[in-house]
Formats: sequence, structure tokens, C-alpha cells
Amino acid sequence: MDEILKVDDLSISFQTYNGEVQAVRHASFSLKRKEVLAIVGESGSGKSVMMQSILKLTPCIRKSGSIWFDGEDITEFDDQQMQKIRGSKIGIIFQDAMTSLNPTMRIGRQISESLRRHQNMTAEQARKRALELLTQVGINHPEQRYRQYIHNLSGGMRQRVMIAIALACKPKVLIADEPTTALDVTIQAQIMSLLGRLKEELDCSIVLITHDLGVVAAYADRIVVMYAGQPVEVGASRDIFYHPQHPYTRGLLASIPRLDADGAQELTSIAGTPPDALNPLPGCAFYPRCKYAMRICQDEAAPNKNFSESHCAACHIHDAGAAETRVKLGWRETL
Amino acid sequence: MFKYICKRLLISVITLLVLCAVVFFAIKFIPGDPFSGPEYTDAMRQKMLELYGLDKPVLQQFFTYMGNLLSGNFGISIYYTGKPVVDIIATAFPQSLDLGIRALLFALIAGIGLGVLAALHRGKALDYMSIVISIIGISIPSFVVASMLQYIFAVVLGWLPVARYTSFAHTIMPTVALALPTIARFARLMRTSMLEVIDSDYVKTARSKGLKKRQILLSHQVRNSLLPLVTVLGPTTASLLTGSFVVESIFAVPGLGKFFVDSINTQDYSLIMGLTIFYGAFLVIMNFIVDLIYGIVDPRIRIGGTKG
Amino acid sequence: MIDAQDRKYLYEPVELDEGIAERMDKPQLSYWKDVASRFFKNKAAMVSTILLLIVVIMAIVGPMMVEYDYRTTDTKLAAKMRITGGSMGPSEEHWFGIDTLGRDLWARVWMGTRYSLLIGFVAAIVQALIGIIMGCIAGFFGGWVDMLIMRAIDILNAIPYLIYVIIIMMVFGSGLLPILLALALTGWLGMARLVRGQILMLKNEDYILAARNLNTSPWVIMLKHLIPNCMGIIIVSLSMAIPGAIFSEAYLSFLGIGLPAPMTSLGQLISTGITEMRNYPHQLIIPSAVISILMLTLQLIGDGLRDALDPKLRK
Repeated sequence: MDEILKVDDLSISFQTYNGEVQAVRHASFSLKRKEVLAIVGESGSGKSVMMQSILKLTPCIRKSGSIWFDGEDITEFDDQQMQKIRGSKIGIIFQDAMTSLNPTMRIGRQISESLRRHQNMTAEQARKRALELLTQVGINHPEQRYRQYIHNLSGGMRQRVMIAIALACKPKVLIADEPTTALDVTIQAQIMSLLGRLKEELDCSIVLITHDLGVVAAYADRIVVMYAGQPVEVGASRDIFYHPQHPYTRGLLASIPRLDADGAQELTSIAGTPPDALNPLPGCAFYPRCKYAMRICQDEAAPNKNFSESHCAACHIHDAGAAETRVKLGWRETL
Repeated sequence: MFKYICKRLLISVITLLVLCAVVFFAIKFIPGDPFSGPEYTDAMRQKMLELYGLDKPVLQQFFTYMGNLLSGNFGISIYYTGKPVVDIIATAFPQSLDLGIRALLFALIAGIGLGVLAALHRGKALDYMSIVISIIGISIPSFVVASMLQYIFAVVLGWLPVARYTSFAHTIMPTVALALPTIARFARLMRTSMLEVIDSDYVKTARSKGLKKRQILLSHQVRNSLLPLVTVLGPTTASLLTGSFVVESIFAVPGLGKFFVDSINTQDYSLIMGLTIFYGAFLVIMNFIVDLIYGIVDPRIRIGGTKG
Repeated sequence: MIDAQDRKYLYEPVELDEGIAERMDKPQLSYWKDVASRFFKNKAAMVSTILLLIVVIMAIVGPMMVEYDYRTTDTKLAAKMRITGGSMGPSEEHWFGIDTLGRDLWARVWMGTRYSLLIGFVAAIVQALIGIIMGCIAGFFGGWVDMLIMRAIDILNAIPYLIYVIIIMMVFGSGLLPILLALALTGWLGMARLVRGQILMLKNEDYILAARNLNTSPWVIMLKHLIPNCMGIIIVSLSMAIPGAIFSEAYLSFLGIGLPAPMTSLGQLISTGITEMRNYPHQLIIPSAVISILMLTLQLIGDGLRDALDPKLRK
């Protein structure tokens, strides 16, 4: 069993003031032990919602699908059962540490809380362990920081505290939801390398939610590309970066500025905006923005096509019937 | 923190000075004097004016009055002839304070409880019940509530004594009537701030730690939701105070409020003046204490010295 | 099974016109239309609006519906009722009954409502105007002007405005104008604070900076750009000030320094009602019910407006 987390055909909806929003549609992916899996997509593509719904942290409706954690079906777990998983077996880091930490509680208590809950520690044991954790995530003067509040800390420090909280009970999976988006570039690198180091020390898997392909290239083993609530392409980093098979993935890659390009290079963007999650399109969600749009794409969702054991994408361009069109539109097999 | 205290202190002192001046000169501005009625002969009037120091120039009177205030002399009542205002305050204030504290405690318990329950049962029957109670409490004037309570529970049902303030049963209706607007205010505020906190990221973090619901509720949600409540404690003392005027009058509680209302009707200016300034000082001190509490409770202020 | 021809057709490329991706957005309602539609969807606010309209209409036509004047006493009738122990309560001739002086309560209640509403609306509007002007000046000019106004507000705010109102009422004597004056002078603090805050926020927006760079006069900027953008909070605050002013008047009347007789207001009717509560409860209950309806509907309409104008606040 080398899959620690497995999501199969998961669909998630929200009831909002304006109607039902289908945030995640038929998503399947798995997380292997000790790997870093990146989930990449524009904001609003449902990547955060999907991961939070796995922990049942958002009030949403599960329309279909199942979730397996460590060989156990946790799809129907109630809140009490989830409490035993959250924090102790799966930790999560949120994007904005400023708002994600309690402003009126001392930093130390926010860390030791979780230790006392899951590891039956006494107050003194928890305090010692929390101090260790603060040192482990690279915070100087832990004794002093332990008694402070978050507004005393810098952005990078706060994110380190978040990491300490998430990793307090040595979870098997760490979900990092845009861990560096709110930070300066130099701090971003520090936090990412800290995560990489801690992953080795603690032997855990990481799900890295991000829209920053640069971060992904450096740290992820495998990548899930999400668009409008659906994974459109899944593969090893190498596959995604060198042999992208979905037009959306290609669009994303084309929009990264490259340092190694010869001479002047035009930075391309993907025209248009993501579709309205209130009224999803019947066919491919990317259809209105796609350079390779065909008639079939409008009404029929594309099947998943496997390119290798680990690499698959969902696009009609790979259908047998599209051979002629591929040539006509100038689809290249590799970039 | 020190700067914060000094600033608050300075504002408090100026507030009191302004209030004293406004009250003093406003009352001097009223045409006629308390002894211009037909029951006084000219000679008597002259004598009374001299006795009360009203024959001196206005500015001099003001400074004398301020000096007297500093030495704890609030003047002498005109209606209760010869009785020092301080004596009236000393006998009546404890009653008002007793009523006020009861009402505040009741409002804190009921208001916070109602607000928390409403937020936890958002959109359900309990929520609507608390909304209805708070809307009624905010919108229906306290003298309507007080007189209705009196009519229903004392006159019609006869369960509770109609008026006065001598036993526990006597305190029930005045306490409820005085507390109701405050309950409503607390419940409303608590509900909104609870809902805000429930949706906040740090509660999500607390949930992601796998904490028990009760633990999250007490140490993260309620604790943080209480903060905005501290900010309205100042206005709350003020509204309890103005509320006490009517509630004490209706239930014949021999407190300061009743004296204040009576002094308006008997045009006992020196009593009005003394009581107003006493109220002002009381409120200013209360506000100062509330500011201090707020500074202690919210670590953001404690260090930064600014709100937010 | 699709035949070959169909398959070929399905896989033909589609020319997407330029704008198609952008056109996926749903149509945007204008701000005020959006606000109105949200307000109309709010049941409590709509019911309140209708109820309030009924009360307002009754305040206008109510006193004219009966032949009795609200001031005319009928002591004989009152004395008769008192001696015979007859009811002074609602009857065929007097729909709301009579008071202890034999005056028709129907006429009095609606007349009182009229005065209460008049005071509420006028005082609230004057308060709002003063508040907006002070807030604009403080927020727009900043510096020592701002400092001065804000400190003044802090100082005035420390004492409940009712105490100031009572003092002003004692100086000017009771009457319609003194009440309006007293309420107007003391009730603008909250509005001024709100408007100032909003303007401080708006002041640094790019379009204001642009207008300033074009040497537009500050007054034009205020009237054309700043105040329209504060409209939301102004309306909400105004709608809350109306019940506030009605309450204050009733409170003053209750203390005996409100409107002088023969004028009447709901507060005054209630305060006489309380003294007659034991024997003639209708004198207390009817005006209490009217003022409660008035305050409740105004409050709910204010809440509805606030939710409609700022959907973020909706909980």
C-alpha cells in the first residue's frame, strides 16, 4: 500500500445565496507516501476547497466520490472521527498566517493545544515539545516567542509557527495551502526549503496547493493540474513540464517567463476568465478559452487518456477522430 | 500603554471640565432664579440669593462652584431646603448602584448566552428567537417595557410588588426592565461577533488541529467574541444610567435617577447641577476603567498603543 | 454508433470569436438596483415598510376621521364614567376610548403619532446634515481641524446625549423647536464619525487623487465624489436616527419636559397612561402599542437597508 491518501470521483458543492456552486467535479487523484504532490490551478479552481473538504473543514455538500486515508475509507466519517485525524494524522497550513492564527492567544498555547489533545501530554511536556518545535522550524529565542502573540512576529515567522502547529503531532500528511503566497520572495524560498527539510525529518507526504509553477518545478514530485474544479492533467513533474498534454497546462507553462529563452520572448497569457461555477458548461470547461476547441468539446466532457503509467490528461485532442484536426491546428506532441 | 493611559486620562479630565461648564452656564442662562416666585418677598429673595451665593458675578460663582466641587461640596438642594446635594447622593446612589449592578450582571449573562446560542444555531428557531428578543429590546422604549411589566405582573397577576425597593421580589422587575435594552445590545453584538469568529481562519486552524468542539467554542470562539463587548461597556453604563431615570421613577426606587427626575419637575437647579456633574464624573471614571480593561484584554492594543 | 461523416464533423475545429470567453460573465446589475432587489427580498423589512406606511397614513388622516378634536376636553363625560364606574375604554363613539379629561383617545393617539413622527424625521435629517458636514470637514481637510472635531466628539460622547438634551430643554423651555434644537445639537456625533471614516478611506482612492490633480475645488470633490460614495452609510445611519429621535422625544415627554400641552406625543400619552394604569389600562396600552410598532418597524427597515446596502454584513 504506497498510497496514503486517495480521492476517487469526488464532487463537492456549496449552497450559496445565488444557488448551488459546483466547486469540485469528479476529481480523482492519489498521494503516495513520502512524495510531494502539487495541485496547481488558477484561483477559484477548487484546489483549496477540495483539500479542505477532505478534512471536512468547510461546510459543503459531497455529491459523489470517496476518500481513503491510510487504507481506511474516511468518506463517511463524522466530526468526532475526523477530530482524531485532523492535526494528528493530517496537518494543514493555510495561506495567510496572519488571519489563520488566533490574535488573542499566546503562540505557545496555540502549538501545545494540539499536543495536549492528541498525545495526552501534561502542560509541562507540551510546553517542552512546543519549544522544541519552535526551534525545529527555525525560530530563535523560542522561550520568548512562546509567550508572544502573532502580531509581534514577521510574516515569515508566522508561517513558521503555522508549520510548527501543523507538524506538532508528526502527521503522515501535510497539506500546504499556498504556504508562500503571502510572503516575500526571499522568505518564500526559506519556507519552502524548511518544508522540504521537515518532510525528510518527519517522513511525511506533502500536498502543495499553489498557483506558482516556479515553486512546483523545484519541489514537487508529481503534479495535478486543476481547472474549474476538475483535474485536467495528472503526471510526474517531468511529464507535466516537458510533455504537457492538455491545452490548459500548455497555456499555464507558456505564461511563465523563461530565463533560458533566446532573445526577446513574448509572454503569453490565456485569454478570458474561468467559467462561472454556478452554471457549469456541459462539455469541456476550458472550451471557451481553448486554442484547440472542436465542436465535440462543447457538449461532451473529454475522457481521461493515459500517456504512461503515471501521466494522464483529459482532452478530446487525443481522440482518434481528432487526428486530422491535430495537424490542422498545429498541435505538437511535445513542447 | 503608558501613553495610551495618559491620553485617556487627559480626555477624561477635559470632558469633565466641559460638562461642568456647560451645565453651570446653561443653568445660569435660564431666566429668573429659584427665588423669584411669589412665595418669596423681596427681602427674603435677597437673603436667599446671598445664602446661595447667587448675588456674585457669574464667573466668580463658577470658580467658587468648581472649587467647592473639588472639595466634595456639590451645593445645597433648593427643593429639600438646606440639604446638601452630597447627602442626597450618599443616600440614594447605593440604591441605584445596586440596581445597576444587578441589571448589568443579568444583561451580561442573558445577553452573552443568547448571542452565543443564536450564533451556534444560526438560521434555526433559537436564532430567530434571540433576534426577536433583541429587536424588541432595542426598539421598544424602556418606560414602555417597565410600565407594561408593572401592569401585567403587579397589577393584573399580582405576582410581584408594584413598586419600591426593599426585598428581592422588589428588585426583579426593575432589574429586568433596566437590563432589557442592554441584553438586546449584548445579544446582537455577541451574535455578530460570534458569527464573524466562526467564519474566521483561525477557528478553521483550531478545527484543523482536531480540537474538540467545546474546546474550540470556549477557548477560541467565545473568548475572541467577547472583545467587542468590552468596547460597548462604556455606552452600556451610560444607557443603564439614563434607563435608571425612568425605571426608578416607575417603580419608585429611591435612587439617584428618581431624584434626578424629581429635580427636573421641581426645577431644583442646584440638585440637577450636582447630580449631572456626579453622573458625568461617574461615567468618565467608568469609561476610563473600560478603556483600561480593553487595553489589558486585547494584546494588539497593549503593545501597539493603537486600536486595530 | 456515429458514422464516419458525423465523427469528422464533430472533430472540426471551432473558430472562437474574440469576446466569447469574456461573455461568460453573468449580467451585472447596477449598484442601486441590486440594493433595491435585496431590500425587496427581505420579508421583515417589507412587512415593516407596509406597517409603517399604514401608521404614517393614520397619523395624517386619523385625527380627521373622528368629529372630536384632540384638545377638546369633556370633563362631564369623564366625571360620569368615573362616578358610575363606566368604562372609559374603546366604545362605538370613542374608538380608542377617552382619557381622564374626557378627550377622545383616537384623535389624541394619532395626533401624538403625528408629532412623534414629525420630530423623528426632522430631527434625524438635521442631525444627519450637521453630521455629514462635520464629518466631511474633518475627514477631507484632516490636520488640526480633524483633530479638533474628533476631540470635541470624544468629549461630547463621554456623557449620554440625553443629559445634554435635558439641560438644553431646561434652558429653552419645553416646546417643539427646543426639542428639535436639542436633538439636532446632540445627535450628529455618530454620523460625523461614520462619514469621516468613510472619507478617510475614499480620500486616497485614485480617482480622488486624479480630481485633486486637476485642481478641482475641494467642495466639488466632496459633493460630486465623496458624499455620493458615502450614501450607503448615510442612509443606514439616518434610518437608525429616526427611531432614536422618536425615542428621545418620548423619553423627554416621560420626564415631563417634552412637548407642552395642548400638543401631545406618544411619549406624553404613555406617561399619563402610566398614572391611570390601574383603572384605565387602555390609556397606557394603546399608545404603547403604537410606539412599539413604530419603533419596531423603523428598526427593521433600518436593518433591512443596512443588509441591502452592505451584503457583507449579512449574517
